[in-house]
Amino acid sequence: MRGRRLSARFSARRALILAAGILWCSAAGFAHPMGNFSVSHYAGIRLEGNSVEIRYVIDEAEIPTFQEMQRTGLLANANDPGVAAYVRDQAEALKEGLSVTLDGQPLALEAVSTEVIFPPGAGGLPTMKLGFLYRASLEGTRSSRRELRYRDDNFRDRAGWKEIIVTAAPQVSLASASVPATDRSAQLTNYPTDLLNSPPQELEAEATFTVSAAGEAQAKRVPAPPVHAAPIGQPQSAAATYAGASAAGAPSAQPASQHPVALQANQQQTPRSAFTELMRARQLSFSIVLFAAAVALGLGGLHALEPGHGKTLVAAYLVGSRGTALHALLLGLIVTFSHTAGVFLLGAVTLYAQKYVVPEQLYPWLGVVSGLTIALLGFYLLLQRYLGFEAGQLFAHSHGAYSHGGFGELRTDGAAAPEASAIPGSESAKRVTFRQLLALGVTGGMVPCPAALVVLLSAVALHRIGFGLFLIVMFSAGLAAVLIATGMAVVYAGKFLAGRHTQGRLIQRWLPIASATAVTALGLVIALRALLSAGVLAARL
Amino acid sequence: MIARLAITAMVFSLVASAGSLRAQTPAQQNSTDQAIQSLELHVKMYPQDFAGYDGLGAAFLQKGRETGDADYYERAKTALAKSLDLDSSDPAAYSAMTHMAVACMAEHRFRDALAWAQRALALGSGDPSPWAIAGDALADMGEYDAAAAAYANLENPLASEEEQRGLSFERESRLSSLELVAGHTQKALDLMRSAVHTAIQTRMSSENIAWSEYQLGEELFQAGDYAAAEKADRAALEEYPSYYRALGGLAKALAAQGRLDEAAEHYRKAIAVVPFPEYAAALGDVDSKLGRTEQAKKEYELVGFIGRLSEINQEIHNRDLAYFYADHDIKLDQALLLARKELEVRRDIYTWDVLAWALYKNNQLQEAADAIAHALQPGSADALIFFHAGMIQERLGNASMAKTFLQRALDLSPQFNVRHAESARAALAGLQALEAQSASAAPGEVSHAR
Repeated sequence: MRGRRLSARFSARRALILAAGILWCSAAGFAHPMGNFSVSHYAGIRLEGNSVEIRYVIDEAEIPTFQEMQRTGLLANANDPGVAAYVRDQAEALKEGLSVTLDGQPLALEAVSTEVIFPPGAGGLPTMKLGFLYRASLEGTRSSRRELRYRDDNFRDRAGWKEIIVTAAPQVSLASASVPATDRSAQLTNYPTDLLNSPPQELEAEATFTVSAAGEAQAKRVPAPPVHAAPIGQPQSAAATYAGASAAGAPSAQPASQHPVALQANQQQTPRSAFTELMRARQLSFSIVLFAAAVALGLGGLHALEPGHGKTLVAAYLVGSRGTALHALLLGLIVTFSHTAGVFLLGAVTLYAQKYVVPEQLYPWLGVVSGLTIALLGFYLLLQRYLGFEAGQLFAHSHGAYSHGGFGELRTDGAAAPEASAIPGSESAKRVTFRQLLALGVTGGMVPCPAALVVLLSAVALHRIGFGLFLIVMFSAGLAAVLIATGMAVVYAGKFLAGRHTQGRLIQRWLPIASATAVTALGLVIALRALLSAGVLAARL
Repeated sequence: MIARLAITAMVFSLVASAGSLRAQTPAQQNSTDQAIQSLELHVKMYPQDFAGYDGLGAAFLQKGRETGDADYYERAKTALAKSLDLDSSDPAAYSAMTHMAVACMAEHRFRDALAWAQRALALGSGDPSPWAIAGDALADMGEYDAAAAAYANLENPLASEEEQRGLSFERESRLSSLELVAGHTQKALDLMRSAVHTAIQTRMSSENIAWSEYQLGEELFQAGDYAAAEKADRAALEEYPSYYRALGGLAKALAAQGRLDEAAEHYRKAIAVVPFPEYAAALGDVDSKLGRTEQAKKEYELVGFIGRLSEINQEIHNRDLAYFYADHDIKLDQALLLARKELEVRRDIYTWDVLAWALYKNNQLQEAADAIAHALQPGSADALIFFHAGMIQERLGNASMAKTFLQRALDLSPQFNVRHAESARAALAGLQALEAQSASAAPGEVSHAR
């Protein structure tokens, strides 16, 4: 349950980051880490007793992808009906560019599986990653010491990361190899950007190896174990190890399998910041601002419906069921304000205390505080509902100060005044005080969602703070709009119901008690969840 | 005109000292890749060696030049910053500072480049090579006299003969560009030929030799000698196969000779290595001249796509994109915006020219005339600038000036541009027809006109 919720939240954060990336594309988007016209290669050669397997990955950045889509008329989408045929064609076409020989004899490669993904690159423009598993049989070649040569003639002159690794199955003894056995880029998903890990430019490799007789027999008897996840490369090591000795000890020895090459989007997106200093296209067109605002508003609305702000939704319900349309509106405004202020505050704190506090560590504690506040509030309401007005009298004060608007007046006699009859400006009971409203709104908005914080921090990083603040206000406003709508809906549904069962004991007493109990429970759950996630974080750190 | 520096000598001395520790692949991995690998190992073993990081930075700069991949300039800057962290007060740090200036030039940060070059000179190492980059930065900022003065310092009578030859390469290749800007085409060609000779004689790296041959080809093209330009570019390709600059230059020279199919083929090859927007635009022009409008449309779309990416990544193609938009009458406001933006950092004659052309296309004729005057001011003999000047004057109603400029463009280089040479001829013919008309209307004028 916790996992599901967290992942839901995570996906929302990603959605917002993605949107932010698109919105800021004209400022300083992210490019393919290898440059926007690069074509990167990866060949993972695996020597088996009786076959050789090549995991071949081609990662095309934005410009070559555009050229391919232009040439073929396809859409950069794995669901495009033409894509499957295109990828099959590519498997054959790229195979033509590969030459693999064993002891001077060319080997016939066969494409076993094909994969394609289109991860978004700069400004959300598509990039393309193709993955092929090629296999060639080594049967029929019986020299004791064999020599394999590999040569890749695809996109030779194009800039890119060009990596080859050679590994061997346990029964194969690798005598020498011209390329490492470990993978530095995790199959082109995590390009190292540190200085001493410059892009390899390997397009050719050779390896000599022997197959032990026992191993060969074994290889024939026992089929290679299936793997459930395609291997992702080893963590980058500063010094690549070269296969010199037996490959049995090579940590990256990957079991052979029919498993297709698993493709992933690049893990890092290197901002190409050098050029942002150069000529600062700092002006945003009005339509982009408008579009950004609309997207932020929509995301905020969706965000209100997510677990993170469930408490606020309940608060909205509560206010709606016990207050007036004006209350609902006010709650929305308070939430917007406190949410915005919370993000700004946390942003400021994060910026100034970045060295000491990891923002991720801050969220859970804010969650705990917020959850406990809500639980207390719920408990207080429960007492109020259950005991009648005694507890409420503790809060009775400031009579008349806001009497026109109906705030600050407190009469908690539930039996005397059915809540559903609360009408703005009427003399009937107002059960929601300004103070309660404030507490609900502030606690509801207080936990700034990481998504909003990410937007703010990116804005700071991009020197576009004003626009970032504007987006967060829009985001909060979207959130508030949903809350207000919920509140309003309940107010008017309540009015509708009130016409029928004004005197119903259910509505007068038990429903409020139930809802107060629910709020208490929810507050506790929120606090608990926050504590748990803090624990999870602590365990990871 | 990208900066040139004799970084290779340094790289190779370091390569030699670092030794080749890893088993070499059978591949013909190019020497720059080998240098990078060796230097990486070297700085791993001697992490406090500032010269090692400087050499690595220089090797990354060279790789960036060869591949056109800006990522290498980022890496170079990181390595050079590390070198300067380790030592920036020793006179020997001039080298890392000079390389830093080169990296800034590659990113079109001319002021920073000048500042780094000046810092390098201030260390008083005695090596005049930072003057080369200082001059390059000044030239791109349009300060041609100051650039010439800087290049004049590229001499060191105390240096070894080999170093002196290296310096003479640096000096001659750069002075050649300045002479070209000043309109002294023959002098420019002589200097460049001499530079090519020096590059070959001193066995510079393949890319350096190929660059000088390509540069000679560009100057020959500008002088209207397309066959000689073709020869120079082919020589460059022989030296350094699939060198994208030479492929582009060769394609241009072939197109000017009417060999459009071959031109298209070479533009495609250039794009397959580095898809610069100017190649895609030129290929589109060749394709449309061949009547392949579908194909041309695709190429123009590719230019537009690269333009969009440039907007995102703030890349360095502003001038090419501005020319493209203005030439094809699309996004004219964008063309003007890009040209103006470029002028903020780069004030050489070519930026004034693109600004003038974009202004002309946006019907801001008086401003266009002012801008083109800046482009013509040093006395440059550039057919494209003459063509632009002619078109602007025609629209302003100065028929005789327009005719002069158009005639000069066509005299200098009858096929200066696949797209524009015809327009220039048509405009000139129109002006002459108009003149003939008015001459027949007012016969008294004829004798005067002759």
